[in-house]
Formats: sequence, C-alpha cells, structure tokens
Amino acid sequence: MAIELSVVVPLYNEEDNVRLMFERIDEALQPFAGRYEIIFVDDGSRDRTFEVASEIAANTPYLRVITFRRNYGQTPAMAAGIDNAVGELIVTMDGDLQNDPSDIPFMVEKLRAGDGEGNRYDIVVGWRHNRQDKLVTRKIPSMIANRLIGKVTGVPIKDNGCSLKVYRAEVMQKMPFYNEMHRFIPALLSLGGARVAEVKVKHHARQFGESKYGLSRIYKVLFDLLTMKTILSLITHPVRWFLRLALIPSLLTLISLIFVVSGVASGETIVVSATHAVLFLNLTLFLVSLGFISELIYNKSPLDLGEVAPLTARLDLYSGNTEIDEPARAGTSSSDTNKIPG
Amino acid sequence: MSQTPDQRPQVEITALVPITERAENLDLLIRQYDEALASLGRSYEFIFLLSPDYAQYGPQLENLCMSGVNGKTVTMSRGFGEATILQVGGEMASGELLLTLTPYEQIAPAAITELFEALNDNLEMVVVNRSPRTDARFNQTLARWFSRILINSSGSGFKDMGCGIRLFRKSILRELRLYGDLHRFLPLLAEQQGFRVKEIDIRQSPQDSRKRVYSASTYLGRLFDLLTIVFLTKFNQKPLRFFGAGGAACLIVALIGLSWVAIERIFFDVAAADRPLLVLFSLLLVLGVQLGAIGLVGETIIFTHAKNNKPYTIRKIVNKHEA
Repeated sequence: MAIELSVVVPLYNEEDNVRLMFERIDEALQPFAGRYEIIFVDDGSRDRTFEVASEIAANTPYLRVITFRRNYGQTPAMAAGIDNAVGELIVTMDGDLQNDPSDIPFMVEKLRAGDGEGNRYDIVVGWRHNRQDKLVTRKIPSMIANRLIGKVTGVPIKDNGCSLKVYRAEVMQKMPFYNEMHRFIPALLSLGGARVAEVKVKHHARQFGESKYGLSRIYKVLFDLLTMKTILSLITHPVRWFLRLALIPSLLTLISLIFVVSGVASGETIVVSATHAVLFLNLTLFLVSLGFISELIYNKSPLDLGEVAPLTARLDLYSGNTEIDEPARAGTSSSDTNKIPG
Repeated sequence: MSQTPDQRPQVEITALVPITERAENLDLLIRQYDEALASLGRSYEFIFLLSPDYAQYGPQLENLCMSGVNGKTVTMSRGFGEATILQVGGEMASGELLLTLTPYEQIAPAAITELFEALNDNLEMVVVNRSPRTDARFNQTLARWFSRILINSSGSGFKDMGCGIRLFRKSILRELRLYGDLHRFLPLLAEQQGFRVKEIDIRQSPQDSRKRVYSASTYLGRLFDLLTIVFLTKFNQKPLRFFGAGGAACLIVALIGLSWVAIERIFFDVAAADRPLLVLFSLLLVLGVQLGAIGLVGETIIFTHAKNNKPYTIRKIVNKHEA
C-alpha cells in the first residue's frame, strides 16, 4: 500500500525521549495504520539515541533511522529526513516531546480539505498559541522574529519556529534548502506561491535539556531571509535583475559626463568629474557582466526552476492571509494528551 | 611480482606514495617503509604515483617492485595536482586502509607502525604532528603561523598539515571532493564531513630537518591554499556573509564620507569638484556595491546547487527504503 504520511523527527541527544516519542507518534497515527512511516534522524548525538532508535526499528519496519557522521543542526536533519521520505505528505516535528503528535491527524485533514473554495493547501503549520516557554529569552525574541519575517515576506505566519508542520512532499522535495532555513520554510515556500494554513497546536513544556534559540538568532534569520528573497527574485531573470541595478550607475555616469562637458566649456578642472564618469561606467559594465555570468550559472546548474516555478504561478491565487483554525477536539481526548507522563 | 589481479591475495593496506616533490634516497626509504609495514604482519601493497615532472624515478621504482616490494608504479600523463593523483591512487588501491607516504623522510620510517596502533574502530583517520620539530627556525615559524591561522579560522585542532604521512579508511576519499592542492587539508576536510580524525605526535626525522629552500612561489601557493581552505570551511554555505561584510564596511565608510563632502559643499561652500576625497569615497561606494554583487552571485551558485550538495553526511540508515 502506498505510504501517505512520512513523519520526520530530528533527534539530538534524546535517548530518554526516543522510545516515548515513538510510542506517542505511533499511537497518534493509528487512523493511518499501515499507511505511514516514521523517520528518526539522529543528528550526531553523543548519547545512545541511535542505539535506542535502532532497537525499536529492528521490530518496526515502518521506522527508519538515519544517523549523521557528526552534528549538523536541525535544518540538515530535516533535509535528510525529507530526502529519504516516501510519503505523499511530510510531517516534521521536534524530537523533544514539546510538540504533540495527536495534532497530526487534524492538520492532515486540514491540508486535504483546502480552504473550502477549491484551493488546496500546500503547507499546514502549527501555531503554539499557549506556548510553554520562558517569556523573555524565548517568546519575545521569537515574537519579534515572526513579525519581521512576516513583514519581509508579506505572509504573517504567527509562529515560524514551530516545527510541527505538514507539507506536500512534492513541494518540499523540490525546494533547495540550506543554512538555517527550516525556520522560515513556510515563509519561503509562500514567497514561491505555496498556500499556507496555520492551525493551533498543543505545546508542552520542555522536560529535558536547553533550547538554543535566542536573541542573536534574529539577525541571522533575517539576513538569511533577505538573501533568499533576493536570490528568488534574481534567479528567474538574472540579466534583467542586474541590468535594472546597473541603471543607477549608468545614470551617474551620464551626470558625471555632463559635469565633464560643462567643465571643459568653462575651462575648469575636470579630473574629479572625469574620474567619476569612468568609475561609474566601470560599475555599470561590472554589474551587466555579473548579470550574464549569473544567467550562465543558472543555465548550467542542475536546479530546474521549472519545478519551483509553478509555485510562483499560483501567487495570484494566494490571498495573503493565513487561516487560523481551532483543532477539532472530537477525535482525541485532549485532557489526556495535554499531560506529560513522567 | 607478476600476478594477475584475480590471483593476488586480499590486500588490507595500500600505501600510496605520490612523487610530486623532491625524492631523497628513494630506494633505501621505500625498503625501510616496506620493512615497517612487513612488521605489522598484515597484507599490504605499494602504489607509486609519479607526476610527469618526476617520471625519471619510474625505472628505479619498477626495479624495486621487481625485487621484492609488492607494488606498482603509475605515471600520470599530465601534471594534475597531488589531490587528483591521490584520488587516482585511491581508486586503484585494493586495500580498505590507505596510507600515504612521502618520497622523503618526514618521520623515521619505522615509526609508521605507531599510526596503525593508534587507529581503532572509532577512528577513520590518523595523522602525524611532527613533534618535537628540529628543522630550521624559519620553517618552524612559518609552520606555526600556518597552523595558528588554520586553527583560529576553522576551529579544528590540527597542528601539522604539512606532514604527508596519513593513515585513513578508503571511504574518506570516496566521500570527499579533493582537487588542486586540497589534499594538504585532508584531515580538516575529513573532520568537517564528520569523520573521526586523530593527530598523534611523532618525532621529526633529522633528514627532514636539513635546510631546504623553496621558491617564493611555493610559499605564495601555500598562502593561497590557506585562504582557499579558510573560505571553503567558514563560508562554504554562505558566500554573501563573507563578501557582504566587506561590502557593507566599504559602503558605510563611503556613505559617511560622501555625506560629509556634501554637507561641506552645501553649508560651508567648500567646492567638491576638485576634491580627491570625493573620488576616494566614490571609489569605496563602487567597491562596496561590487563586493555585495559578487556575494549575491556566490549565493546564486550555492542556491542552484543546493539540491546536489547535501548539507549533511549519513553514517548509516536503518530500514532504508529500497526504491
């Protein structure tokens, strides 16, 4: 039977959580019995995470365990999981039990149902509306980051940092991603025109270990995001993009030339204006050349934006607002799932 | 040794000897290496890789192979870098363990057994730090600076990238992309790919300590290699941060300077048309834009190749999906 769901969970030094994590996911996914797989990605843990996970996998054919040579971080871990997933839908979540797998069925349903007007969703992201974290060190920085990311992308996703997300595999597997991009995958994909829905999910306090998200990350996240936005607009028409940029120095060249001419006419010294003319002409030619080089780079590269382009084509359809939905509580007994055993 | 490949016994260790530099007392040295390897009691072979500039050593090495040393010689048709030569050697090697050896003495040949002692199941590579060093003060100082820059920029702890005697598993060569002169940084690159590398101290051979003079271009080449590796290790995935930082600095200085010149022109009536300062700041402005634009092109290269360059290396997959 075809696999419908691939649940990707990055794990880093989570030997205490692995077994519990597996049981929780397994239990939550019973509605999809036989049609799902779980992928644990061990991100170079120094404890027994991989051993424990492998023990479970020995009796569980639908659990795949990937282990890295060293610690690479969350984005590469998710990338590895996604690259090795075979399901039509991909679910990503944290490996520290802060997300609740019981939210998955509702999110999947939401993605499949679409917005009710015939437009399907490509991503459903979780929103930790009653987040169980420290206010000053975690919640406020991420609030600022989310606002800024929203401003840059024009997609006001409330909680980019929530790992619990459901994607269509086709959308995800075509997207090149690197650095710390997992933080704004939805924002990024929606830049490309993917349709995003946001739903409230449960969130539990962290039991073990410390989280690394802090104020200093905001700068990096924003820088990466601006880079991505620029690259996305550049890559489709490199020559045009650089030519447009070159307009400014070419105008400055003209202005300098006017000064040169008027200087010659009035017998003044023209060294400075002539130097400027040459300087700006140089910049103009430089930028135009870069445009052609970029065209060449894209032309010869293995990336086929024809695959990403359909996403961009759907930008018109996208309303620019995310939808917020309450999860349906009917299926799960929420009073139980909100408690953390142990 | 004139055995056909199928008759050759299973070889555990392949010693690669790239001959791309001066060779000293080659016959004696190879025999000493041979003795040291024989003392391990494991099966081994030699592969001598000659760059065309040093093809004159070919007959001598072939003679060695005829007279008791289990090995073969390969002469490259063109002067590829040593890294490429190593890749070729790795592909021809039948052993799963590779040992690279230098055609001149860096450590006492008998000491190579220490590398094998240090290698265990939890290690993929063992490299040598020649310590204590006994060569010329100038070389030592240079080497110290070299390694200090490397340690500061890459965060790894390797002290001696100049020692060509290294023991490693073949899988390293399969997973790393070596070209040009990057072989020098093999331990560093391997560590970055998640392989476990250990550096052990072995006394420098007195033969290695004799005064040597390299050409200025050699030193310059080393410096360029160092810059390459610093860039590749630190900004591999984010060229815009590398170029952008320089570009932004130029732009900021330029904008402050230009506004200063503008203010003086407008409010204090200082003529701008004949000020060299104006040219300087405009130059910085142009430079800033150029650096930023180059960074963007770099970023474009990364973006377009991101799907092929996996940002991770996998040690193992349990229950791998068979397509």
